[in-house]
Amino acid sequence: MGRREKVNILILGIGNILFQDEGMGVHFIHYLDEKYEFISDKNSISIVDGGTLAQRLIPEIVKYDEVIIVDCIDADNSKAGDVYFFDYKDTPSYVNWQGSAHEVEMLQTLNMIDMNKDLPTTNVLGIIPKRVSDDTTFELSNEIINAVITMESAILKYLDKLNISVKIRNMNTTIENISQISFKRDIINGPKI
Amino acid sequence: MVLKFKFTYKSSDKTLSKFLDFASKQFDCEYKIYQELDFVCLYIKANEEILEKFSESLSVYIPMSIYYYDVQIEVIDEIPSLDFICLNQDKTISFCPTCLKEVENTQSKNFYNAFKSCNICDGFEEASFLFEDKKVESNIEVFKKIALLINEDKKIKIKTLSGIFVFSKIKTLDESSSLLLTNIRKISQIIVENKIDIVALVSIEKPQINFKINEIYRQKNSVKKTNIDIRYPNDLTLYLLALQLEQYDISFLNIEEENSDFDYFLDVNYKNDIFLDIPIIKCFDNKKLILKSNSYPKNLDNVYEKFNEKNKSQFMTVLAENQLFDSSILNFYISTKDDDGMSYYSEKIDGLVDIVESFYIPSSIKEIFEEIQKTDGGKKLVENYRSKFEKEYKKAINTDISMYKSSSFYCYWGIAKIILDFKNGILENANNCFLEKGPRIDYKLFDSKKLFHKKFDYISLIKSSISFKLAGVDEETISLGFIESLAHFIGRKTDTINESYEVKAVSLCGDMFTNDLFTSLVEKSITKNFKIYYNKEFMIQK
Repeated sequence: MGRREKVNILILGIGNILFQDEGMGVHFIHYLDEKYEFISDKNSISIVDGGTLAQRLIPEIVKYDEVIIVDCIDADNSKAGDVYFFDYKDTPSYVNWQGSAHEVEMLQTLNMIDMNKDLPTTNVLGIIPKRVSDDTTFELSNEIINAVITMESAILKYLDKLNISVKIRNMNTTIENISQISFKRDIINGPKI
Repeated sequence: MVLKFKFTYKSSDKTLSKFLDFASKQFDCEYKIYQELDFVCLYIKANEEILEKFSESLSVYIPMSIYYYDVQIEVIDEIPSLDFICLNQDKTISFCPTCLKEVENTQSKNFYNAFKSCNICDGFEEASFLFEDKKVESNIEVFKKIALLINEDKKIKIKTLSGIFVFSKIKTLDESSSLLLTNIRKISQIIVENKIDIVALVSIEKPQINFKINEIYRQKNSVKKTNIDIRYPNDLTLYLLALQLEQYDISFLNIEEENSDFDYFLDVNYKNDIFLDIPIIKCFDNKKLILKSNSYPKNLDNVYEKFNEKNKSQFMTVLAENQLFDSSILNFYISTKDDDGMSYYSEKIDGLVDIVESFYIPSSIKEIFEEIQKTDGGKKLVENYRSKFEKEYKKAINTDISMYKSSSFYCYWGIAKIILDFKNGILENANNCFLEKGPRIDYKLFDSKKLFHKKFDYISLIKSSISFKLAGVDEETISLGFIESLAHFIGRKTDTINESYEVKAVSLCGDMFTNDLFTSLVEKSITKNFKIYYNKEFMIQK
């Protein structure tokens, strides 16, 4: 058996940061980017703030071998702050993942890519938001803030399987601080391909 | 042995070729000059010793040019059988390095002869000065006298190759519109040095360039303005005067128009009909854009006249200058004065189509808030804005926006400034912002099945900016978001059009592209798959 080629991994944060918890997908990828250095002698990690771009992300997504989408989801019998990690092609029936309340295009976007047979292996790191109101603020609910530890653990475990190890770069990173600056923060681990 | 010098020279003028011709004639060699599109090639055949000397001394004969970028040299077998180009041109060339050397040589009969010219460069013919109603030959005494008068705070009107101007010592920069730099070594006394700008300033074209005034000078001299237009002596009269001003430690002169007050007039009696253009340019690391010029090939005026809409006229000049009529090009015309335009040209569709329709410009702020309230979440947004920014909301509602008529992003930015009650304009704010990234402001086209003639959703643009203000983002950061997000929109549009229609390259024109920040963001947003074209000799916005 030959050696596996280099795997290019994309961590894509989705959501509208103007609407509190709904921007968690974006805030979380900034949090990871700020906190960790990603190490691999073989594979690459690219972190992209997808915001509400949805279909406009297609050219970006199809370039990668592995995609992890971080976004808000809904699920039966769930409560705010619950975290789910699943294969997009094997989405559990109790999960109602239609992106966020304001932009429902992400699911359609992935469907479109899949129909063209261009979809890379795609996993979704989903979080149940608390507030999805029309007030514009970068503040997050406590439930979401407390869920960060679970989200972090899930994604790091998966990255480990992909031969990506991490080193803490900035120990003092908190999701509360990051959520205030995500809109103007430059991503360190930007697109590698 | 044959050497091929391949110069990247983004002009169709024959200036470089004329200098190469002159330089080659000084050596015992066989040579040929060929010019096409962005390149001038000199093929030179001689023995190794001569070629070495030629290569070493080339810089003495060839002046810098705003159109010159680099040169590649290679050894080839034979001079190709190409037609030698015709070196004739109407364009006036200011003093050449050889003439300059002669007028500065105390032993030469042309020492301080301001009317020296040669086969390459141009000047007043059979000329003499007229000073205080007397005919005066050009000599060092004339220039000593004029320099002395300037030092004594006299205003001197001088006939130059580019017209008549009044020159004097600088009083305060706030009263000056443009300056003549008379001592290049002292340029940093007033402005922030930038190598590319300085090289362009003293190039053979001697353009006028806008420079940032340095903070030390501003503070010391209580100068309010931040920028000033500067040019370098572009004829020998001004150059020789500059030499004499050095002894009075005068490094800059104030320039005023012909009809300004003056104390003395240095006029010129001459025979020929001559005018030397002063192009106004903007330098970037990788290109120079022409803001104003009369030195471009005049056939471009005919190309420009073919359309009534300025964005399309300008696009045609980019296609013509870069010989792209057999290609597929997407054009973005973004302007601070005219209507914006985005159009796609392809030989395959036999012409040109608009990507976006003319923008709708609302007639009042009230209308905008009413429209926002009709959208999803819009009612709550306006309510929140009215309660959190009551004063700003009232002020905006009562502000007349009838002066905003152009169908342009710049116009929307002007309206957004009023709604958000920003102290400064969006562009100014963004330029002052030290952040690398701004918030994502929505630039969207309404969904429709067609790819062309889409409508721009200006309500989303305004809504997103209000949201960021409500979230507590400051005005400079939001302004950066306005600029950066437009750049990203241009990049995304390019990709989208390319998915359905072939886009081989992108052309950018309109005066917004003279803004460093905006242009660098747009260039970064357009993926590397697309080459970017600009006007070369023609103005970026006529």
